[in-house]
Amino acid sequence: MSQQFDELIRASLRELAGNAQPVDLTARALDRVQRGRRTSLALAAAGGAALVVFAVPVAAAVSGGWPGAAGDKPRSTCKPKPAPSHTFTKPAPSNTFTKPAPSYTFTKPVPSTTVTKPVPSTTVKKPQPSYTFTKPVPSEGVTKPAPVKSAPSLSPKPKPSFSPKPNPSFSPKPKPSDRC
Amino acid sequence: MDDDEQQRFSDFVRSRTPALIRVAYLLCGEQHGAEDLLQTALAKTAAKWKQLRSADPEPYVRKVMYREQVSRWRKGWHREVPVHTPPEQSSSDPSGTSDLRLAMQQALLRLPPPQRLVIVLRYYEDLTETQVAEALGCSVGTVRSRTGRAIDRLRAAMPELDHEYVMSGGTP
Repeated sequence: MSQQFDELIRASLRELAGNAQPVDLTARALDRVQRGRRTSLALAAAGGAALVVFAVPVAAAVSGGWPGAAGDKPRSTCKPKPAPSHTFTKPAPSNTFTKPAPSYTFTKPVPSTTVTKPVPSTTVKKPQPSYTFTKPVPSEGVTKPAPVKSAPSLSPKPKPSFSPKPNPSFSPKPKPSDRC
Repeated sequence: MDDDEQQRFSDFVRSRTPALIRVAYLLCGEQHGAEDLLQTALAKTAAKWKQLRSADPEPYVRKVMYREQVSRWRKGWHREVPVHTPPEQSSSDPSGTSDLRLAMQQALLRLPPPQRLVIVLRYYEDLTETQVAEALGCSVGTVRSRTGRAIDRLRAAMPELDHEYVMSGGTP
């Protein structure tokens, strides 16, 4: 039954195909080929023109030498401008300028005044104990007797000699001043 | 394409157009669509004519027609209008076989394009399922399923087939 049905389908298809009218499609097929070539050429030309119109300005703008891109330049400059504006806020915390100001504590060099050092170094006071030699002077009163005479004879000589001389000599107070 | 190749192409088209237009007619179901389909296939073949110099170009033209028809169907090519009566009516046959063939032709024209395409390739071009699948670029299972659905539809379109076919002895 299926083979008979298949034969019926084949016979029907053959009869149906016979309804097709033979035509000569040679000229039309060749004409379509030539039209397709013309279309492809036109598309290629249009593509080339589009490439020139769009790609060349873009390439020139990228290279930076396109005058017409002047409108683009402010855009590029405007964008960086807000950025430095933000940096202006940074300098505010950069009040570190005030830090150097206190660093101008010229007072530091003042305390560094080693001038004070010479003060403690006032070895000048050391000669003061040398004034203790004056204490023996009151002792002179005690030894008013004869031995005192012998003593003052000896003591007065070194007294004036030692006291005034070392004082001016050790009073090299100018020395610390020189250091300053 | 130089003059020699153009002459060879023209000879091929003139000699094979009658056979090719019949296949195109079966695929499209009407004359104008068949001419347009074959013309498109021939134009695509002409573009590849230099590569087909050593081979037979007819299988290439047929494959282009098959795939072009599938492409048109997928793109929604709905220029085809089913006809209720075949273009040429034959006189009624007392045996009824002609009526059966006419009814079958009508049923074939009413098939959806993908199913009719498979039926044409299987029963008119005498291609195997594998060859049909290769020609259409689909799987063998797809060919089988489409063929089965097309046969079922043809049977359903001809309810009187079984009785008359058995009575006539099964000779179309």
